[in-house]
Amino acid sequence: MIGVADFSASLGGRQVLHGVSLAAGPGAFVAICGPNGAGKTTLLRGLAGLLAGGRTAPRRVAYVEQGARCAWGMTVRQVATLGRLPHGDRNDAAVERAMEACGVATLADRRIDRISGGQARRAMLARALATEAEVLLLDEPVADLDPRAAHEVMGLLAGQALRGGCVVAVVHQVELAVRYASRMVVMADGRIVADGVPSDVLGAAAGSFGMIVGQGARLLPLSDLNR
Amino acid sequence: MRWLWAALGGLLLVSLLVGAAGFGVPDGLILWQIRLPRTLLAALVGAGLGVSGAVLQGALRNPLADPGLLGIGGCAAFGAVVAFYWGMEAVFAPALPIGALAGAGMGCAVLMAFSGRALSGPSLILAGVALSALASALIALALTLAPNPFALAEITFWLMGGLEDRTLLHLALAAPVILAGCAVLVRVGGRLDALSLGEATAATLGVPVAQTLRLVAVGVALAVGGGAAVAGGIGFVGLVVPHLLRPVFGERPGGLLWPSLAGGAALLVGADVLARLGPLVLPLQQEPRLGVLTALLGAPFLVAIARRVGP
Repeated sequence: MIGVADFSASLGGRQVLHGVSLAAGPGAFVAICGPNGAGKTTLLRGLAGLLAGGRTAPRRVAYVEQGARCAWGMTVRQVATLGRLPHGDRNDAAVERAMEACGVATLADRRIDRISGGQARRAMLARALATEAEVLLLDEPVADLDPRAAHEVMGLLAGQALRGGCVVAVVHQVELAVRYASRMVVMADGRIVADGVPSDVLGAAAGSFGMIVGQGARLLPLSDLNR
Repeated sequence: MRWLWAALGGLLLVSLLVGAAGFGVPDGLILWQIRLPRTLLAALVGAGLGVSGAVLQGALRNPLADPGLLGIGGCAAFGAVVAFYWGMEAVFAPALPIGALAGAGMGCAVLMAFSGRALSGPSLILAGVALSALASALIALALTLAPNPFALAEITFWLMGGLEDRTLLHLALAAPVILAGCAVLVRVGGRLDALSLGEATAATLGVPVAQTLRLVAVGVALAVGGGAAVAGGIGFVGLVVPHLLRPVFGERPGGLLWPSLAGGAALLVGADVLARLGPLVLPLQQEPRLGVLTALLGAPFLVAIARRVGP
């Protein structure tokens, strides 16, 4: 459904991805984990067709970038309706469903710059869902959400996968990835170092990664932990 | 939206009825040769500036974007200055608008060349800023080297912007250019909405970002260049009009294009009426320059908006 094979990419002369291969089909909810600078965002952008030589697939692949925001005080409904742009229609039913699923239907006529950060993030997600694309690519969809909202969004994404969609999301909170994702991909230094069922991956990753548990478990390189 | 068109219609009518002689229905010759070209030019120039401002602010996701940012107006002014400099307009009256149009066209070509193949918002702004700096430098150079004080005064006067003594010929020269620019600009609406989510997201929504920015630059060059060719330097309209209309029509960039077009036209026709009323109601020897008036009116408006916009 979506994937890259032996994919390398450079940003500003520095190679950030080294021959990465990743493929995901219908029903998959892939959580990409790993420390900052591991190449997660670049991989997602590559999957979205945003890197040099790539091609976007507007109707098939919806993408929400890291820290997505709207430059203007558009209403939540106007933002969600942008998801219909690839189809060139204004399918109100699809927009309504998407806002409902993301829990922002009651905020439909509020300005996106006058609601909370978590609500705005879910409005951005509604925009992606409104496209009714087969594949959802999400860069840190639950960053800066409170725990409850984070669980709701992850549950929503798992539901998308259950209905036959394909979700690939960069997720820092390991416990959320373990609980909701069907597959976990761990990246470090531009390579995929582990890939599989989340519980297995965690066991395998324990060798090269330490885990700290505090406000939320995160995977960190051992070198960081030993500091 | 309807009230805006009605306001524009009312102002157009008032503009036809106001002249150096005061209020009243003028006779046919004055109406056709003086009032009508001036009124229609004010509307067209204002419409081009208004829609250009709305499109640029939307495309660049920047509420400070002004059509002047791309330097096209400066290039048109330079074209006009060249026509002045060699006294071409004294020999052949249309030389001035034609020179300005040529300047705007060259400016657009240079802008495209400056900004390179991988066009993005920041590269377009940088190219525009470079181009306006170049145009101002060339104008300053022409001013310092002006052959006689008379040419210097005339150039300075023209640069302030105005619409007095414009004829149907000016209208015929500028209208097709401005209208073509407006036609290009009002069609990019949906793409502007997508661009408000950033260029990467817009690309995944199927918006050809570089092509859209190129269309925007060409549209602004036509709409603003055509206007500058007949009206000289008129600032603030493109910057202020979208800000005035956002509280009424919402912030969605695509929803502001037609209102900004009508609003820009209404604003400039109104300002031009005020300019003509100046000597009638105030002890002025002559009309205040239109470009000076729009800046005088625009600056307080912008301050008011700045005070309202929160952090």
